[in-house]
Amino acid sequence: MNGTTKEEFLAAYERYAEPIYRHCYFRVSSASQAEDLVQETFTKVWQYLSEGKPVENMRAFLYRVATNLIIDQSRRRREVSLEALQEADGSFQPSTDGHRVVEKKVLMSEVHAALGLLREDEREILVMRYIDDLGPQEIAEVLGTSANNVSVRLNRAVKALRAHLNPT
Amino acid sequence: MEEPFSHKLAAARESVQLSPQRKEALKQRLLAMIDSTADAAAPVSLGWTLRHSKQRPGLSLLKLIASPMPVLVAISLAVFVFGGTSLAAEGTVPGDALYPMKVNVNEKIVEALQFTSESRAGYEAQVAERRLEEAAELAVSVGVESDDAEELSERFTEHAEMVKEKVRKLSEGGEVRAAADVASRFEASLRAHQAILKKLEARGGSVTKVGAAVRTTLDDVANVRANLESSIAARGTAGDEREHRSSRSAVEKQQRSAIQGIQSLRARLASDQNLVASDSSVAVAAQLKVAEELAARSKVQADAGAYGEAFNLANRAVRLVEETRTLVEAEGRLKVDLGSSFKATSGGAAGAGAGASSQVSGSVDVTSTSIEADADGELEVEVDL
Repeated sequence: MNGTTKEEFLAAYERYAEPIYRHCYFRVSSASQAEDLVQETFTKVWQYLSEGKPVENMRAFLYRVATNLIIDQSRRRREVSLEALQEADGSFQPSTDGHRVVEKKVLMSEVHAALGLLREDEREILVMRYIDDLGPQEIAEVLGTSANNVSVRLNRAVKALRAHLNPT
Repeated sequence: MEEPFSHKLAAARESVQLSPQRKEALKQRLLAMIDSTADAAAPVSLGWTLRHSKQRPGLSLLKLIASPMPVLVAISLAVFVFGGTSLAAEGTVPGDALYPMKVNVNEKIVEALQFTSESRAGYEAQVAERRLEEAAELAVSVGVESDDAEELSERFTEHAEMVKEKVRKLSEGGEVRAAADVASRFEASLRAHQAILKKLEARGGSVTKVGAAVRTTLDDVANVRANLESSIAARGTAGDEREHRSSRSAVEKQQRSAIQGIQSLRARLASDQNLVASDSSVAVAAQLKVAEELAARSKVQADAGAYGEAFNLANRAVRLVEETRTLVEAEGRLKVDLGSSFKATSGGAAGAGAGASSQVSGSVDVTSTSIEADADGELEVEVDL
């Protein structure tokens, strides 16, 4: 493995670690599991690179690896984690937290609850579109499908979320 | 998407960040992994290698961190992190002054370096194994005093329970193969240590309490492993293309682990002809041949798309290699002839569905040993001493 590839890999880490973390966090509702997934994602990508295999689009590849890892764990029953209510450096203290902090926690709780109502594939595509801000073509590249298929799946996921949030 | 909810998603996105400290910590672990694989032909992820060595405590600490790792990096890291006292603590057993540092400091520091659920589970198994190694060393050198036996038994049981809990969590989290791998390796270690402690007991060593704890744990872990392998086998060829790729990748990883273990152990024996007695050496060669056969059968099943069966066969190969390696290291370390202990049942303890649908019929003679398959497809290797 040459030095240039290692540098490129580390540059990719600097650039994409946080987006990948964010993606994983909204998929699994746990900061610690999201960190584990970031570590595993970059470890797998490094192993792939060190076998001399080329990666054309590092961003798409990272999302693909991350989403595959999450799907491997998809049998786990997803619950809204108390972690989603906690600050990174402290515990949830409703009696002492400021108003803005409480607002933020309520927001996160609501978002996690809504995403938790969805199937894994619905959640996957909604997070990619509205959290990761990937376009349909980029999502298509990550999932190995067509942009048309992504658009169809996205519409279905939005409808499913709407139905859950506004049941008739 | 309703406007309010899309706004909520955008607001939620902004509030989730990977802190600079955590980002740097993860980067340092990645760098350690990259450096550890720099000289390896095949990349090896930062693992939970942890070996006790009373004779060479510094070496055991180097092995404690990662395997493989360039020696200069390992030495620098060990000295930086641990200092001389911690290095000295590595060679201690219960009753030694620095033993508390070994279990309360050294092991905790390495525990913090485990960055995945799987590696944390595997690390607990290795810590449990360290307690058994200490029990064996005490039994050989001074005989285990009742207080020390009590302490070792309690510590071992504590870590063994944590292993079982972490395996359960891995399984419930959908990481069934990872759970099966950890359970299988732990079972191999327990089986080997059960044989070692039995031998020491026969020589008058007082290891009854620890031995009883090992027996109980072994039964539990073997059952868990068997159930996990049943679950893996039952999956059959189900799943979409992505799942097939993932299954194949898991199988190949396990096959590589078995082959690398076999090669590594053969190389070790070749480089140190006096590591084990000659009859043990013959038995080890036979065991490794069986492991190779299992790995080959695994490849056949994988090529046919039977990934569940393939994984279980590769898992059995790894289990056999790990059990053999533990016995070899114990014989070299304790200077006790464990030749009669090299009687491997590669299928493991009683339990439902060990995935024995692939049968090996007939027998293969290897020098003075025999390898036979019984009616259930279990392989047994016996050495005539």
